Amino acid sequence: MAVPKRQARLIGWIAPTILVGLWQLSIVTGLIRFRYFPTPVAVARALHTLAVSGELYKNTAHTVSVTLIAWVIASVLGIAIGLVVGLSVPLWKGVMASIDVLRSLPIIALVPVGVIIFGFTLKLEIVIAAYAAMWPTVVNTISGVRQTRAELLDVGKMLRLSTIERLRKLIFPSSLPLIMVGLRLGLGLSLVLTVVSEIVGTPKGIGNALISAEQALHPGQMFAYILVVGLVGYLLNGVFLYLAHFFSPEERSRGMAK
Amino acid sequence: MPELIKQDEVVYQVLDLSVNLRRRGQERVILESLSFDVLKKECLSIVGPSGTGKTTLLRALAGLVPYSGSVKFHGETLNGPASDVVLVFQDYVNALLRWRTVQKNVALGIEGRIPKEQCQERIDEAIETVGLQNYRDSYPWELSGGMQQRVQIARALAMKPKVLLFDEPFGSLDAMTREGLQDELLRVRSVFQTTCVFITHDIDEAVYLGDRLMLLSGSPASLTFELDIPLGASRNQILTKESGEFLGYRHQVYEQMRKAHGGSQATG
Repeated sequence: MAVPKRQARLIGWIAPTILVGLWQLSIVTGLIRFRYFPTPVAVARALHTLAVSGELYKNTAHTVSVTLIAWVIASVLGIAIGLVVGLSVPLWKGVMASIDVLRSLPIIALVPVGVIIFGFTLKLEIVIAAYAAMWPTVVNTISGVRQTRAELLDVGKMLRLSTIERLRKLIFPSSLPLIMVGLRLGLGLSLVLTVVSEIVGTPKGIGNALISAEQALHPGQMFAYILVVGLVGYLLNGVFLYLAHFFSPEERSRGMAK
Repeated sequence: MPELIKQDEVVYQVLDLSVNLRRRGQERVILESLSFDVLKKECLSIVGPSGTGKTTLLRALAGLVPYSGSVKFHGETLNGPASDVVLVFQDYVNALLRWRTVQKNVALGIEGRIPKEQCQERIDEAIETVGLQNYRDSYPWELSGGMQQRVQIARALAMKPKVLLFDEPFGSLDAMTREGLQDELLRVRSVFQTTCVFITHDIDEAVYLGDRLMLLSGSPASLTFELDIPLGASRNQILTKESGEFLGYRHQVYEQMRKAHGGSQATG
């Protein structure tokens, strides 16, 4: 069943509207009796106050910039490590087990280690987020490189491309779809870990504001920040996908065909 | 009459060629002691049932697999892909770069090696030769299978090779497209005077395209039959294929193929 795009978007709003309505109703009517559970209206009011005071902007800007800085570092490192490991069979055999262990280790468990090393600093945020965001890119780049079709490599030999040319013109572009998957997962993780280190103790950003609001018994503000984190995650992912579409001819034409 | 052939007329001189390949840790002899020449400007068809090692033979000529014995290309021992030789792969989907347009695919082997203008000229010439001038900026996945294979042929032609190796290039195309491309290949050959080695399991195709034909069969594979096909340079899908000579050659090859299979099977 093909639903027109605009109509589909409208339909998508129905469920959240009903949920928010129910939330408001159940508190107003006394169905829910938690003292610190705010109504959607209270959350909206808190959001407005935060926006007007400039605090919202300051905290969001901090979290978003740390997320992006960490992500860029993670992406560069991740792609570089992925290419090197993916291209060398002995290296791949030697380190793949270690990579699997390291990336399966829940990264949040390493946050305390980071705190011991760096204290509650900007460095902590960036290092933790970059570390987390790097693994999906490493792993996906490795599989991308290793899944390069043998036919393509033969073409490179047949047309007498140099090693660098083969890497740049054949292996990298053919791995790109998987690398993009890694980058996208990494972006999400980078935001999560940035907020986590802010919640744990870095005195800046959305995570810190969220936990401060909780401790100051401002549930409205707390929920407002939760909403903002969700929105930031959604927007970062959206911008990433838009850019990916924009730069990929294959994706672009598919989008047009729809 | 090999002793009458001048040395500079010989492109490939293959003597006692054997190829072993490792598959799942087991070493298997694919080709055993093949000897033949490929002559300048001829089209040599190599036929054989599927799985005999035709592709392996072609890859050996391309310098893509290690071999034992002697393969001389223009008098020099072949180790690794030689310049002036391009292989056209059967699997055009994976042989083309799906992130590059037709034009950029054709450029792959020459870009950055010759001056820009000259490069563009060669690209245009190759694209026009295969009749894709209206699809320069299309992507491979926007084209039909036949057109994609043309892109691959154009990419090979842009390298201005002396030798073209074809690995069942039309194997996965429908009959109409295949015949169109066969004629195109004959035309390209007459224009560029390229030496061709053409591998196929389709006997009609082998006879139609070849000036000479060799039958590869057995396991490990060896050359079991050779045939000259003096049908001339201008061939026609209808007239040539209905001519008595064509049918005679076809008959001989079929018979030999059956013999090689112990008479029990038709060709595959």
